[in-house]
Amino acid sequence: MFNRMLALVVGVWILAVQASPAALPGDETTTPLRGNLTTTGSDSLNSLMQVWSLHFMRQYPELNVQIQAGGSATAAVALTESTASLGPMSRLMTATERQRFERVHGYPPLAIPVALETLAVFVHRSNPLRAIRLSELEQLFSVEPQCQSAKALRYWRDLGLTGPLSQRTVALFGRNSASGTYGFLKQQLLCHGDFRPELHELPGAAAVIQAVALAENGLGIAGARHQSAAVRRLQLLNEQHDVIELQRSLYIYLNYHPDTAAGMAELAFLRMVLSDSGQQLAVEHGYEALPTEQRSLLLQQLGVKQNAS
Amino acid sequence: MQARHYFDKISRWSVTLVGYGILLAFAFIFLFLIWQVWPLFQAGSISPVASPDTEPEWHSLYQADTGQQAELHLDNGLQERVVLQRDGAIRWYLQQDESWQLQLRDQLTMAPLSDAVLLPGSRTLLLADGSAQVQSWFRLHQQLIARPGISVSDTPLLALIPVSSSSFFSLHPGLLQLHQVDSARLLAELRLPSDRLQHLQLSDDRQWLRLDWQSGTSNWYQIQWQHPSVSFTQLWLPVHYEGRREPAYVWQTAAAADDASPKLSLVPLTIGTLKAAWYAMLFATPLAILAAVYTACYLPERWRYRVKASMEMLESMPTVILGFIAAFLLAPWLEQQLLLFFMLLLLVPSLVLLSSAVWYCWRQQRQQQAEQPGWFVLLIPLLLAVWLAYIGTPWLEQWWFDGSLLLWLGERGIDYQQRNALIIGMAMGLAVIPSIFSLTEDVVSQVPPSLAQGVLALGASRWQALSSMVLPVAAPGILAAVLLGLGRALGETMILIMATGNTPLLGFDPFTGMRSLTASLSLEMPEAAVSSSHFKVLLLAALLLLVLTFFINTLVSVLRQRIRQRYQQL
Repeated sequence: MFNRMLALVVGVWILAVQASPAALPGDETTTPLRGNLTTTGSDSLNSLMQVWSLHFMRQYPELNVQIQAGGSATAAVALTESTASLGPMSRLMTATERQRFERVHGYPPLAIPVALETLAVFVHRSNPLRAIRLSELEQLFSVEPQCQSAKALRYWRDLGLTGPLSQRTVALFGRNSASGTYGFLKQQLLCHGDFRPELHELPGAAAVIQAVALAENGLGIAGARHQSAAVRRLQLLNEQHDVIELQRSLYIYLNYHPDTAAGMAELAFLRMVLSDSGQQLAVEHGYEALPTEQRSLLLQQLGVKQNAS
Repeated sequence: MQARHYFDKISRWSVTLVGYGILLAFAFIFLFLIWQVWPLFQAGSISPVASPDTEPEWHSLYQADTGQQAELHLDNGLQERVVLQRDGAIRWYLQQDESWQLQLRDQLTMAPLSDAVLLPGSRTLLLADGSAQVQSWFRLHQQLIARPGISVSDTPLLALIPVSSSSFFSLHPGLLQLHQVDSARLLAELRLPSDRLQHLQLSDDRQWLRLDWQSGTSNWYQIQWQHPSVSFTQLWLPVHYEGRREPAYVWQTAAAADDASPKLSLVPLTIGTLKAAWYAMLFATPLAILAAVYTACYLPERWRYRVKASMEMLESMPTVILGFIAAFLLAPWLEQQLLLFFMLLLLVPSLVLLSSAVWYCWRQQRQQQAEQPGWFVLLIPLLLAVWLAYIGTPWLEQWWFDGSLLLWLGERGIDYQQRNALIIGMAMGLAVIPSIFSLTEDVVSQVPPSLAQGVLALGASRWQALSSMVLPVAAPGILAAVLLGLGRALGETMILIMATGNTPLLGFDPFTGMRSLTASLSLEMPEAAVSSSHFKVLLLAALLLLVLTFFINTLVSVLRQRIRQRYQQL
């Protein structure tokens, strides 16, 4: 289980070693593109999509990118009904969503991982705790711990604290359990167990940080890029006390016909996203870049299919 | 003249049209929700088809075998294996670093085992022993935990066939049944044309079923699953899910974790909505009614208008602001100053009442007529109460609560959460006060003045006239006002999303939070896959809310109608 934690960066394609990872193709402007490119989907990817589309429109001034953010589920619907050509999602499509897409189009949608988001654990700034183990995190968040230990933790003293705080329960804060973040945590952290009903589910990552900043006994999980001075980020440790990170992939779904491929504009957009400059933008906005090998493989896949048409 | 006549007619028609349009729109929303929710309660089916349009990827689930083995070896695809003997001896192995480690060993007391399966992707073990009940067990660490048995047909069982992590087939002579494990429900049933089944195959997406007979022929079937994890039992009764020690009401939706079937109990959400409304009404009702009665009966005309206007302005305040203030100012303050809050709650009304009583007695002793006390007479005890509370709280906390009320509560097993029902009571109470206030004020001030004057003429005091004449007459109207406030509280969303933790808890504990139907709708709707069970249950929640508020608002209208008639009769 904890070995799996180390390899949390789950791509859709198996990594393969590429000869020259530097200077990936795809960033150079070739043919002029015009028209509209519509994306509909995830809230959490929204700011990044804005940045990417601005950069993209600078490259192709005659192309107009429209972005709508209404949650990951809207991406699946919009792609199925062809009202959008790109669907940013913070989770993979569920089986029902994939089936519906296949029923309409006759082939499965294509998921392209575009960036990684690091999840971090935050506590109040006055909290003396510095690090927490993943197993302790599971025991805190799970209603009935499933992974290794059967014991649930509720109080700060269970995490080794002393003083007045140790007598108090740990107030848990996080995103809403229907969100992509929580589906990911449910699989990777809780071993498919259930979250405690006492977990405070707040509407956004910024709300989680604010809530933790105001609660002395609070502990919250949110995207690492939302960190502020009012909270302290805890180090995450595995059972061997090595520092690790919780990362999950963010995706852009695409209506990719196996024979005729996707539109030129969509492919150009994805090439820009997966290029060095696109990933650089993601890093500047607090996300993590995909490993170079994975990117070149993805680019190759997109490029090869394009040539085949 | 003619033109004016036509204009009159047209405007009358258009008004009627708009009125009916609104009614139609409302009916349409209602029908749409019912139409959307209806499939949730439709039974699944297995229906024969000629052959699937395109040959899907088949998975063989069952093959007729001849002899009975002494031991059953089962695998669930999670690196776990179970070895089961016919007498019920069970050994459960886990794969760790290439070797199989014994995790648990147990002896189940049962009649000789006829068949057993381990559901794929889950830790649930199903055991059949010849009776019409299939036993369901799961492993939790080193323990086997029993779940409620699943009733199958009482004809002899030929085989159990695992389908998914929460469903299985039971094969009987001439009959194939599809069962759901969590709710122990029969999903669908199929009469088989022959007893001699050789091979059972299921397609990749579990939509198609292929049965091969020993005679060499095959039949194809389509499985209509509908919504296997939604039933009355799962929505409203405690369910024993895998991985838990006892049955519980669970609202746990993870759209992203595809493999886990959603746990959709509406009980915590309904209780959350009722709890929020209850605490809001507890806070708002006495304040709003007393303020309205005072405004209607005691305030001079000039002031009445001002107070009423400002109250109505308060009604238009966006609730998102109230929610924000409650979450980021009130909640942390209350956590720090919980005892002070209770002291103020206790001291302010009691000191004000006490001082009015003292003032009244003092005036009577001096043989002066008891008038209304001036505002300064009220202000002095008010300030005194606040001062006393501030001075007394640290002392009381030190002396009685060992230095901290929160820790004192914690030692007695009362968990104080920062975002709790008290905060909601105050914030949402503030949002519903204006609606209760303005209707109550209308009703009380519209009581025919002749009634009160008659009582006053007989020598009653103002308070006697109010309590014995005006309030009883206006009572149905006040009830309508309270119900109107309740309707508003049940439908409130923004304050609940922002100021509660959206925790799907049970019970009416004032120090814990809640998750309401409305908050769940607005938080989860954007993430739920369209027309999934989760999505449809959210629509069911919306329908429930619509029916509830519709019912309450109808009641309000009926009560208002009655009070209007009563006033006309007087």
